[in-house]
Amino acid sequence: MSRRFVASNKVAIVGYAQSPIERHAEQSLGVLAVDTARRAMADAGLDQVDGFVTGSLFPTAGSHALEDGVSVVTANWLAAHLGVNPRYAAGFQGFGQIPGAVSMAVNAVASGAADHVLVHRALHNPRGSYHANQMSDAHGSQQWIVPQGYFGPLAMIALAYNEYIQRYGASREAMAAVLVEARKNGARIPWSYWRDRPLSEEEYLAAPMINDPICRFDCDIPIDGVAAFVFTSAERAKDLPHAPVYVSGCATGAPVTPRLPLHWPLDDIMGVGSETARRLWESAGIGPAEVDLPQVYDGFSPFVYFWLEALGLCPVGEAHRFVLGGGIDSDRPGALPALSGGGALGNGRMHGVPQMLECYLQLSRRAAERQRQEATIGVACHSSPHFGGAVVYSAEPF
Amino acid sequence: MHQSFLPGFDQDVPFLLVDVELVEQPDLRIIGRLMDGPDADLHIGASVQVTFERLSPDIAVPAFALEGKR
Repeated sequence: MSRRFVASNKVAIVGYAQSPIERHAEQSLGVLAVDTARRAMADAGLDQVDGFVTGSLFPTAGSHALEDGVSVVTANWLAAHLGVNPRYAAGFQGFGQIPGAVSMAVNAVASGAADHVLVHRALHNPRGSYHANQMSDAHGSQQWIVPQGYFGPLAMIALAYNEYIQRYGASREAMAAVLVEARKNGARIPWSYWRDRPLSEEEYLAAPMINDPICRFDCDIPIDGVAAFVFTSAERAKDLPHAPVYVSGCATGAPVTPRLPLHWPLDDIMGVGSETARRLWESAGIGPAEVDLPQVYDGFSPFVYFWLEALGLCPVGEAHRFVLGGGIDSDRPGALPALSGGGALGNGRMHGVPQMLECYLQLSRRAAERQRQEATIGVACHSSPHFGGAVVYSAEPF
Repeated sequence: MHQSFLPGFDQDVPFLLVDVELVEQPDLRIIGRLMDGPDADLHIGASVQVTFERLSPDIAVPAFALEGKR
């Protein structure tokens, strides 16, 4: 039996809006979300939508308050503040909020639960240190890692990246190539926090370690920002102003090996990641060779290696040599433009939004001076290959 | 670890954490301080033995030391 996604190419993105990405926005996150949602609906040629989906995780390890409309914006909050009684409103609970929310939106449209679904993502940068936590005692499973000093996502990614470096002999110069590429592309994007601010290899190599081998530049910068996308059926999309971008397939996955909190060994990431990729290709009915616009997730820079390898875009253990040889240089003909949208490293902590937005803009031919004429099939990744997911987008149904 | 996001570790940085698989139970991995210090000559696959890090007179947490160097 084929596991091709039944709704493959039957639901499409028909409009979007992206707020400026700033360290601290003047408006509250809720106001920014309402404004961005209204602009996305107008962009799609619609007065209203009847469905709302988001993943509202606040990805901080710090002791910050969770307040709807202030530090997070849920689907129900947004619908209520747009004055809509939604036919469908839902939140994705897991990791990989963007592919998770997209797949829920596609399912809602394909099933008829809603006609037009707005997927938004609102990210907040609280005042003070993003991850600092003043806890004085650790409970539950944290009691096994916190007294040892293993805490927060930098320690998490430092472990897996250290394994990668030792196993495959990856150099800091190779990771510098990733950062230079992400920031080069981000510097060209009008709404990016890093607009007109590329990073040099020398700046990267000079940065001190935080959790060795992770330095500041390996982490996306916390920001305030909101993006919104409108989904509808391929049929209805024909009557709307912009060229639709079809959702061809999607996949997610989760590890089954019991682990301590934030304990992500490299073999877990790549083992489950290869299954995520297998599901993705089966869902879309294509393989990695047909993808000309892969957009790998890069909230922490080592994820670039992990996704390139998990998706089969280069052999396992080779991604560091691949990037060092210009393999993802968006300006080099024949290379894979895997960070052409700037990613999170080149835009700010918008989670998987830059990957999704780049797929939409390029495939709908709305990328202006950044337009890549050859782009036909994109993949937008988010989070870790073993704890997140990916979506295949196409300019044409197939 | 050159920086900690938790209180109480400022005097300890830099310190070195290791992810240890138990000989007795493959794939059971636990994380602890390597008592040999941050400059220890360390590589994946190195053998360690469990020891204890005394945090206060009545609290000790599992830690590790390179085998043969205790």
